[in-house]
Amino acid sequence: MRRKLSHNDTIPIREAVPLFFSSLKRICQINRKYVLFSFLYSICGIIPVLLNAFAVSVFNQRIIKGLGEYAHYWQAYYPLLVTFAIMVIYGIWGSVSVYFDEKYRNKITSYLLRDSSSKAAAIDLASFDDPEFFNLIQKGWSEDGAMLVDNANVTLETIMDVTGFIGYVSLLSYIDWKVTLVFIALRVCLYPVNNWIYRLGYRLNNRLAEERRREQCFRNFFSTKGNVAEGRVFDLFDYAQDNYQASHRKIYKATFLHKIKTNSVDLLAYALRSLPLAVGYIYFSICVYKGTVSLANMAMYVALYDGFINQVYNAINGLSSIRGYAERSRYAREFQTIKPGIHTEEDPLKDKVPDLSEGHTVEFRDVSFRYPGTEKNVLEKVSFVVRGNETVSIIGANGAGKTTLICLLMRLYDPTEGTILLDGKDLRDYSAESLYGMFGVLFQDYCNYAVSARESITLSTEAVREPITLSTEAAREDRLAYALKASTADKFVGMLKNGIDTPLARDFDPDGAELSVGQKQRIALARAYYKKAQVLILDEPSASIDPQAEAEIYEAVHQQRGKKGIWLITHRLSSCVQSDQILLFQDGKLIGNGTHSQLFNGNAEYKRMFLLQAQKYGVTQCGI
Amino acid sequence: MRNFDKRNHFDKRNKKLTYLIKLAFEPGLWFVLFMPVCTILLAQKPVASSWLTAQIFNRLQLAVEGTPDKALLYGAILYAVLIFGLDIAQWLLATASALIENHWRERVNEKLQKMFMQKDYKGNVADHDNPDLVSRRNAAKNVDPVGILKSVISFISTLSASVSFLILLWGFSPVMVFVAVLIKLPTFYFYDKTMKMNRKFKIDSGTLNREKDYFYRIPVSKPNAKEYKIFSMKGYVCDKYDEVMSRYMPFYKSYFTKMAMNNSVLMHYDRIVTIAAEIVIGISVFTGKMLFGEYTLFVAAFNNLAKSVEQIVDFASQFKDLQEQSGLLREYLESRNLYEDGEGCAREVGNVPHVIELADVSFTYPGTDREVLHGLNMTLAAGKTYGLVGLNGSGKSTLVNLLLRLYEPDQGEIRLDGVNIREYNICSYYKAIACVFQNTGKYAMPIKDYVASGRQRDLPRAMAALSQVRLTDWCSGLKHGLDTMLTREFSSEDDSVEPSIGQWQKLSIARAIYKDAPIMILDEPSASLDVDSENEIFHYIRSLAIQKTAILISHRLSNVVDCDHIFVLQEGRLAEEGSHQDLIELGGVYSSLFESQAKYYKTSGAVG
Repeated sequence: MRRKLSHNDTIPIREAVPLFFSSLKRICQINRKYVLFSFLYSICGIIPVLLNAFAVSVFNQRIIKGLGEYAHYWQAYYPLLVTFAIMVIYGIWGSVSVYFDEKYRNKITSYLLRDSSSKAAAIDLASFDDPEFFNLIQKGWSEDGAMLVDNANVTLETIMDVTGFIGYVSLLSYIDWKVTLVFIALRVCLYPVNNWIYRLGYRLNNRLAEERRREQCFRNFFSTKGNVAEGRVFDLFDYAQDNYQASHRKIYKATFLHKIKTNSVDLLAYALRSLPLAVGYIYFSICVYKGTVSLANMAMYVALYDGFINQVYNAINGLSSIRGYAERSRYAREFQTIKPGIHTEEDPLKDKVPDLSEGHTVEFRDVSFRYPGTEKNVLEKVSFVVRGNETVSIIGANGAGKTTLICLLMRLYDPTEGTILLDGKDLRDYSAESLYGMFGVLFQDYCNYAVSARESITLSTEAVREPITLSTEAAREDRLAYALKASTADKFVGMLKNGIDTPLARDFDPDGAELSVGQKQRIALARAYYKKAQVLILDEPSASIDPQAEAEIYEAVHQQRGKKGIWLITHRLSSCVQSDQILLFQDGKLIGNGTHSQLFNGNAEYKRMFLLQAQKYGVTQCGI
Repeated sequence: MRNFDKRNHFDKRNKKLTYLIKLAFEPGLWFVLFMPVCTILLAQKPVASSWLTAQIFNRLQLAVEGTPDKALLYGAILYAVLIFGLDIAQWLLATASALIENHWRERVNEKLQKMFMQKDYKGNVADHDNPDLVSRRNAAKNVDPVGILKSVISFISTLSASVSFLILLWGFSPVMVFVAVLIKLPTFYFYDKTMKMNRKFKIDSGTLNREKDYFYRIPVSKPNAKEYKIFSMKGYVCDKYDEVMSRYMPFYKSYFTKMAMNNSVLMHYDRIVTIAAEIVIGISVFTGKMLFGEYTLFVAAFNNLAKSVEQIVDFASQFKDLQEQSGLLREYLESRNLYEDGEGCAREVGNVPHVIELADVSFTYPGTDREVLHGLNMTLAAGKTYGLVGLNGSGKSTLVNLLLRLYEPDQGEIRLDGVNIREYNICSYYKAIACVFQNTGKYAMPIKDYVASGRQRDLPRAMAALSQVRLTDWCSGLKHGLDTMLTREFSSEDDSVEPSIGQWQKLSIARAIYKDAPIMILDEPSASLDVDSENEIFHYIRSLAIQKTAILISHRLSNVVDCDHIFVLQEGRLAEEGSHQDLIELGGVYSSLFESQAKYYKTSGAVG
């Protein structure tokens, strides 16, 4: 899975173009109408500009000739009115097109965002541990949605530029093709210069990306309450400010130097750009003087010059920008093509986990695991068997591999070595989705979402997609009530302003409630209870809750004994006394396995740890 | 009850834009003087080039229509060269001005950011509880003062260009000057409408916009991704996103439809004016009263003047908004704090054994009406360890907040060595306190900076602190040791590390140990620690207590057993106090809580 990703330099054109077209194709697949409509509009875009220039030129010509040739002034100015009428029509079309553009663009963007969001969720958890890969995920994910639409726009703009270019060239060549050719040649010379400036900018941005994040971080250091409190007690202000200033100056210096460098090159570009105008004036002056070019045509040439030069520039730059966007779509593409090792999509070929009321047998057979990109095994040859609806406690020091073990059990990672068997079959032979459905979990780093308490508890898809009938509705309410009670969240949820429908954050609703840490944890716990899970996994469920709530939570957990499989990670050894099996870990190795009395009598380490905690509760005699 | 709106938060003063301009002057007077000069000079470029172009056309027309005269041609060529010279000169000036502007902008930005940091830091923690103030602060932070100043400068530039064109046009026809000015005045209506629409859209869709971003961002972090998988949240999140979009789209649709209409009206109106001018002025050329070159200059002057007027109108429509924005900035930066910051106080915390007394302390969080602490009386003697126990929500953390002077009591006072803590110099006060917070901040900084909190880094002392929390092995296992960056926010995997929750907790304890302050407050320091770490850390804290006053909050009552004195809080009141033994004998709240935890350790005896 691990690839070397090196994005420090721009990509060559031959790789950029296919990348670019593949992303364009994706847009076409989503909405063909949008592409077609905008394409038509872009192709016609140049017509009014040229028409206007032409009309003005005719007008100029006629007023210069004046009364000598035309009887009525009307004959001179009617072309202007005609073009105006055409432009109004085109303008109206433009407004309509903006409407469709915005409408479809939003649709496409939201489609893509959803798409890439679920894509991100399907990626192996292991990918999140590899910073390089994580970087790709973040970049690719954020670029994907917004970028594809930009990409389409760039294409359309390029089309517009190319048609514009052709239009200008034909109109100007009508006056004098030689000069036109020379101008184009002069402009083409600038391409390498532009390219160089572009690459320089790209590299600079790459180089400064990290520094920018650092600047941002220190700038907003005191924007949270917690940080202000810590900052004051530990006197962090100068530290943060100095770091901000250092980062800011560093970025500033680099960009300033970059500007000086590019600007001096830009002078050349600028001279090349404005020189033709002066040369054109001189050349045409001579022509007019000799009578080969009319004064009005010269005026038109001059009037068109700026637009023309820009058009040439844009047409050439189209290539550069295609490349630039390909640059960005590279991340998106790589992100799209990440192949997860664990497929979360429903796979009909794979078995579903059967719903067994008597519980499942889980066997770890010589399981070793190390996180991708690291050298050290977090788990080392771990073997044990858990049968039926046993209650399992996992204990051990910080960093002993407890959390990793439950992640492996849920197949959030695959073991590096060894196998995990569920009912005698390899975990990998089950469809991941049905496997995930089997577990209700309270993670140590559980999340809280800025939605109502009800939604926060019931958010799993299984519940959302269930048809709503009277009986399911009632059943759901029952389950919700049960989840609230079992997690002891009912104690405070009932006291919130709008009860269970109160938003749990003030992000989007000023009436939202800010919960304490303990309360947040209980909401997450309720979520685990709400799910129709066969196995309940709790990673330190009582870390920040008070003794009374703790007792209630363990009470609720113990009520599930025998009905569900329960896996409990804890540092409070009192809570594993009643477990059917205790797994004691030390540095990734399983050093003890058995019931409380077995371990207490047979495992010195367990006995020592248990007594250490028990003594403080005044229990010195454990009657063993 | 202390309320937010009771205090006069902001001084209402009128000169809002001048505040910003004053701010802009700070990096140096010459910047600000240089900018308008440059701008005014640059603004003359279109005037000059129109004039030069007209000269060329005039000469050529005379040459074509009259007798061919070489002198006329050479004149035209000379003006063409001048146009080139003008171009280059303009480029040089523009580049120089852009670079200088860039420099100035960065200076202003830096200054402003520092002011914000200062304000965030010095401002009251209480302000974070007031949604109104939070939104005000966010609004102030979103103001782009440099952008505002730039639009002021570009206004000056437009104004000066319009004066030049006005003079030029006056030479042709004073009537046309009035026409050019008056004809563009009606556009004010449309610009004003655009402004209002923008503002309305921003307000209407602000929350929705954030909400929609929030939902699609959910799976892109590791803890979220885990839950997303296990709880199969895809359906929910997608539905939710669609639902937010369906609320957002009507606003957006009506916004961009109106905007497109408005823009199209402005565009067509502009074209009508241009064409009308060409037709009206063109008649003089047609009848032979005017040279073609003069005509081009005339038309250019008219169009440019009209355009300048339009820009001025645009600026005028924005002016109110700019005023308002700089007002937001000023109001925030100059708002007064709820509590005095105590920086001016000269009283230093003495070098004596500290005694902390709480006399009849009551407290209500500002902006709420529920009293959290009711008339609390406590005395904490020097060199002793105090346990603070109670259920969630009983007021323990609030008490810590008051001791840390993050809030001030509404009634009663907290005294340190017999003096109200408000009377101490704030810096000196904080020097006397070290604290382990319940939710420690996860900062992206090197380990040594974290432990030594950025102060002069005494490495052996930092190592000693780390060894107290059993992190020595972990640190020495890292490739860069104490220089390793915490969190992977800015660094690659080689030189950074992502500590586990337990490790963060240990680090924050190490930081408090490093600080070595005479008063130590520990708020749930061991929630995620393993058995041995917890044991050792509390052992260490007890050994410290000989020289220090320590306050210990823990839900694991076994941790406070050895404290000299235990306070039991219940719903903001002191329910019980005394030593562990006293409280057990009392048989009240404490003893029942203790019993509920000890039970399992005791019943285990029966198992064997």
